[in-house]
Amino acid sequence: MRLILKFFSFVIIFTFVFIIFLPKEQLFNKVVNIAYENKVYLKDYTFNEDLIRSDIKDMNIIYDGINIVNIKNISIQALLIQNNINISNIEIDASLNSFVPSEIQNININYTIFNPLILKANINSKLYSVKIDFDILSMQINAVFKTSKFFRTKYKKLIKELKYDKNIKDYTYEYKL
Amino acid sequence: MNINYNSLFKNILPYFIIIFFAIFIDFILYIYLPHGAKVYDTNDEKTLEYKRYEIQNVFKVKAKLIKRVEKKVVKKENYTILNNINLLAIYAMNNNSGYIIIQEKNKNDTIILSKDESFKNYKLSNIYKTYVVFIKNNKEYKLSINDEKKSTKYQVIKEEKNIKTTSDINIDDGKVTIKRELINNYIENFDKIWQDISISEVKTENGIDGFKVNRIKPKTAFAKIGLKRNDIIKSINNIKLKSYNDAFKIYKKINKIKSLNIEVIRNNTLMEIYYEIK
Repeated sequence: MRLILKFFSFVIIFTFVFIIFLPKEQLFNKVVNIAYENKVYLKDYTFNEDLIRSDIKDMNIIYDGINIVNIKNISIQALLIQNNINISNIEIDASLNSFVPSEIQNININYTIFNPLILKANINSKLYSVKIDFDILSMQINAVFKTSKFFRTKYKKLIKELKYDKNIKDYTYEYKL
Repeated sequence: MNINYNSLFKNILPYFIIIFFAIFIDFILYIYLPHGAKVYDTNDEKTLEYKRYEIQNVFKVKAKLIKRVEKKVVKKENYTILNNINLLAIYAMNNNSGYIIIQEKNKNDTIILSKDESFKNYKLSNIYKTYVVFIKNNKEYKLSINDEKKSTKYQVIKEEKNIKTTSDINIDDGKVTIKRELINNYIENFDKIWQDISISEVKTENGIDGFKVNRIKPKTAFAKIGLKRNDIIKSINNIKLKSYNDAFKIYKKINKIKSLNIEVIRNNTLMEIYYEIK
């Protein structure tokens, strides 16, 4: 028992120190460079880091030469038990307005060690909200939509891609990577 | 009070090792990870064509401001001509795409480049009617076709010849035979090809992957041999069409070819069309 406790204390201390001293800005630079190689360009952002928290503000995402998304704030919080990415005030380019609603208020991505195989995400918009579960083991995405009437009428093309669930009386989406 | 320092040290030491190990890994990551992010070049951003004079006319910008703007533009358009390359022909499309034919000086081989393709690290960034723009190390190089010597050699033949299609193509039990005379007519009258068929490149992540047929003039040879609108021509005689150069390599050899085997994707299905040239 003592040995197990000692082992866990080692793991906790290691993780804690590892997170605190993690070169967060360099890690984010790596993400930007990987995106750049895939022709997704992240620009105009400011990066601020704390001991366990990183903030990225005013980011523009450009794909194929078009500024498709503007994100006001991304907050990444890495705690031992709970890890959280909060993306707020997302504005999608108006040219994509016929496919997706241009404003997303908030995206929250959560990972907890109590449920280590599931990555959870919540998307909140004025017209709809989505609860997404990503099963890491089976690489499957399950999304449950809560849509408004306006959303259902305006985004019929998007609705066609979703599956109607009689139990929840709304739409779901499943995708396996 | 008697403190056993030995046992205290023995208990704390592993924690220090763990902390040191974690910091060491972070240090390795710090060295390995990039210290700067790649910056997006705003020149690549798709914007409307820059028309400074029109904007000045519309908004009646003051003379002082005009001067400043002009200074900037001169700096940007400070082209130097590539001395070792001759621009032989330009095929410019409306959407600033297309392809060009270039030739290295003192060499006989011609090279066909489409937009965004590179030649000796010079990336073809823009194609205009009379000139093209290459980019190397963020510098722009303008290459003009206004060379008198070449303009006579590669002048587009505007005189149209009536190309007969009905008698030159025979279809017998699904076997299509094309008379060489028809092919020769197209070779002589290169401009006629683009009047009868319009194609555009199909771009994927790895570059060009075939050519899409955007338009076919009815009752022409291209329509007769079975090509249809929205067909994607993947390969000709097993030569995959990965660039305009590949397509022109076939075009150059066409008068020696005895048969044509065209691989086409139609309605998501791969098809083969076979022709004999007699």
